Amino acid sequence: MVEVDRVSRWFGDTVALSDVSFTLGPGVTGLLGHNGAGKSTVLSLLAGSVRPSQGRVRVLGGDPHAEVGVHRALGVVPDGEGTWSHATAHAQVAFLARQRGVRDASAAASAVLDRVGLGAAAHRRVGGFSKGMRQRVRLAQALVHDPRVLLLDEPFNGLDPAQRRADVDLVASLGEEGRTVLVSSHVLAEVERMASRVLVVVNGRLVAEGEPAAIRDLLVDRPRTVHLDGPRVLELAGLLLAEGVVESVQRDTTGRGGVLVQAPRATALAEAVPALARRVGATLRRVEPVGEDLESTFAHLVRRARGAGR
Amino acid sequence: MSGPVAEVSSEVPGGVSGGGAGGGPRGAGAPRAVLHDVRYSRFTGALRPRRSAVAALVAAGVRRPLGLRRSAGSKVWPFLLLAAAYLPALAVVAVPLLVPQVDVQPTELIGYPQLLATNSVVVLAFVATAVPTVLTRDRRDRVLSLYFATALSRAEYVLGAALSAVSLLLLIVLGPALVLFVGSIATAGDPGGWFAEHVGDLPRILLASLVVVLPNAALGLAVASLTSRRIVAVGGYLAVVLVGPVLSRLVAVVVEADWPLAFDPAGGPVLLATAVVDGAPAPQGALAWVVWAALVVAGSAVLVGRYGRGGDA
Amino acid sequence: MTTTDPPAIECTGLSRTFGEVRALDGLTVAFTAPATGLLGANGAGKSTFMRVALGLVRPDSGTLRVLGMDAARERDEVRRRVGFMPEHPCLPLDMSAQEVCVHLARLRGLGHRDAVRRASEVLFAVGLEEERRRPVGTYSLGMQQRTKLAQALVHGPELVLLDEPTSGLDPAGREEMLQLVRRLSRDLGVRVVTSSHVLDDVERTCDEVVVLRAGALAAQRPVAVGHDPGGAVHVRVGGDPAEFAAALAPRLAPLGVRVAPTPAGDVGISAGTDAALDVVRDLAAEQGRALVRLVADGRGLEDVVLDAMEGRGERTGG
Repeated sequence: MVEVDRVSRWFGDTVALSDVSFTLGPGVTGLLGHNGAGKSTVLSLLAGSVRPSQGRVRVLGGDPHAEVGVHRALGVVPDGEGTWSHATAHAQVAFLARQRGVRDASAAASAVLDRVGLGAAAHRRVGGFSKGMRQRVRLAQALVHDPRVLLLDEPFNGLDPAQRRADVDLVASLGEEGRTVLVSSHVLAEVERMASRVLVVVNGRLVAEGEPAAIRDLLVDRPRTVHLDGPRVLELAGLLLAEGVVESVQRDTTGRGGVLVQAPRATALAEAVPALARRVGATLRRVEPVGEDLESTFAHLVRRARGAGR
Repeated sequence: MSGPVAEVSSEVPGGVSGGGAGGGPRGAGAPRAVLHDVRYSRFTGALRPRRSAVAALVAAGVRRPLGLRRSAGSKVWPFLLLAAAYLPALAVVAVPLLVPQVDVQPTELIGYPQLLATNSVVVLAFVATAVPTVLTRDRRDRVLSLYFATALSRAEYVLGAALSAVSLLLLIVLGPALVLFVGSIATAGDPGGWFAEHVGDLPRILLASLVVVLPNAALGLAVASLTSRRIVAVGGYLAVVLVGPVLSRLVAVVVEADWPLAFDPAGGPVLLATAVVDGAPAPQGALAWVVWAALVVAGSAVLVGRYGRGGDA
Repeated sequence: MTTTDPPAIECTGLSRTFGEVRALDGLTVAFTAPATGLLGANGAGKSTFMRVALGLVRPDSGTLRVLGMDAARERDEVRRRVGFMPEHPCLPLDMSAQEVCVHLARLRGLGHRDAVRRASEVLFAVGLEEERRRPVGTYSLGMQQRTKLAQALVHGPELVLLDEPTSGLDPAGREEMLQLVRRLSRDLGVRVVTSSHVLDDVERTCDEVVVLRAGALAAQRPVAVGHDPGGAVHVRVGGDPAEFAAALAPRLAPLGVRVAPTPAGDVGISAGTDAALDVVRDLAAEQGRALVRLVADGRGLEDVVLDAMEGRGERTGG
């Protein structure tokens, strides 16, 4: 549905994206990267507001920059403001629906506002909305014409925890409906929950793509850290060290107690733990791999891309 | 992530010098090594009285519109205005000083009232462009909640702003007059005698300057407190001081009397100041003074109203 | 911190209405932990509460004390001891970080020399090096956030209020800011109150959370859950989990512990007592299975907080 083929983009003297290629299909894909690393450029290219300096961008088979028709099936929630204070939420969304050729604009607007959780506030002026509610209006604007491709740039900005959770579920369900969704967010724990695949951009280049767990497994030079806790855990840790199963032992200082052990090979550690714990008489109240989340994976990818230094 | 420069000594962090570390069980004698804890810690020094804080605010409020400690570009316009304000006085003082044949006292070439009159345009321009900055920059930077929560009370802020504006304007109004005065001492045949004869002028010069400065400061700050955009403040102020005189003159013609001229917000104070310097009664008498006081009070009221507890800041 | 220290913030019956909106409705709560996270839906009263604590808004009724001092009456004293890091941009863009810190330090009553020295210390502590002399307008978002934190600390306050400190920061920036905040309360003994929408941040930096709802207290509990011997435990082993579960069930039955599959496909045991856990361990050792993961299935902080925000579940306590 979305094809990016060897795309590069320069802004004057700086290169924002360098030789990036990927394709997106139905489902939710997360877009990760530091500020200024090229993420917003990717979104702008797909939205058609910017043309690639080199390479080709195709959305649903068309060029988003040149062909207006693409936008009928494309929904975009950009970063920053995009609502008018004086109109009601319903009016704004219905207006955009009409512009994009939706048949019964008013009903579509009501339906989509319900879906994003603004059903009760649909006929109030947007000027009186909180930041989070305005964010949801923008989401509604992007959804009202039932787009097949959705681009979301930091869509949860300003939303409180309950709203965030609801919207994470909403985005996940949009993906399950078969739409192609690209979400850019800094809160990686949430990306993990919504997205089945991720694209990782570092310094303008694509350094990884695919399922988060699979990417993680490919990073073989990662140290594997496990948090162990329970009575006599220190003796267990000492034994693991003595037997050469782990390379280092550290007390956990974040307040949860227990120890953190580092092992070159995760399977060897997992296999050794029950037997050695039994030998020492240590009850295992917690055995938890640490750093298996997307945030750790991302940090490792950046370090790896950098090579030396920092 | 940056961390402490020196390792912590065995003592609780605080202050500059840590305790001794080396030594050990060697007993009496100086320790062989000492570690100093330089990490961030609570501030244990004495706090200055509030007037020192207000003074810092006033200093910053005066520096900013003049472009001091900033790029050269931001100094251009203010220094141009300053030059325009001081030039007449400097010229008039320089001529007799440099050309001994000219034996005229500077004050005879330009009297204080004339200085005030010629400077009134500069004053207008300065109030319009520089004074609002005292308030609008802070509003635009959105720094006020930080100030009122952790640094200053609203009263201290308003006082500081008012003092900044008055100081800036005194620079334009009182400064040249003092140059004239001091220059006259220098060029007089008998400096000591001239000074003794004219020392009574000083209080009148100061008073006259305040007469011009206060209503303009009040007006400029009042307009600035109503907006966070400098351009709107400038426009508002200019509207008042350009339209005001025209209106008052119109009314004067229509009514065929002089008293409406007392309501001229630009020229009125200058006339009053002239009167003060000359020791003469004001042209429109008490009415003029009432209008003057009203301007100062109303302007201050707007300022306090906007920044006071119930206000919008 | 001793137990005789006054609460960082403490209020009783705090109420404030804006027009028709009841922002605070008889709020009564005491912040006693070293680092507290303040959570709540938009409109639940969080920002109004902070503004009252900072003296920017007067309550209609009730009292609020900061570090033991009345927030309304002893305003000047409170100002010296409190630092504030707002969420919105609040720095003069034409001044450098150094100038901003010195200026604010002087406004807070430090002499010039002290102000310069303190500014230098605090800028180093937040990690701003040569860039501290450039205008703030040229800074990246991460640097601006650090400058905001630095100015909050320059006068050495006892309590710092942070409003969305990681807002807009990318993962690396967030990590650094969270570490800074953690150091503040852990190592530097500064009390911290953080208002945030990102639960993850609060979990990593705070000892306790306070959840507001409709202007009143909805929940207050510690972040770390203690060990709960009666709680369920999820176990992930190498090989076929069903086989393991089948062998496990009869051994746990005498202890009154049941075995059931979890949604993630792991083996769940109903009560993680030490005796039961030892049975799991021994069976894994006997069968030569890898023990990949063993974690208590406590109700996470997120569930508790979301329930409280929406009005379900417990009122206070942990």
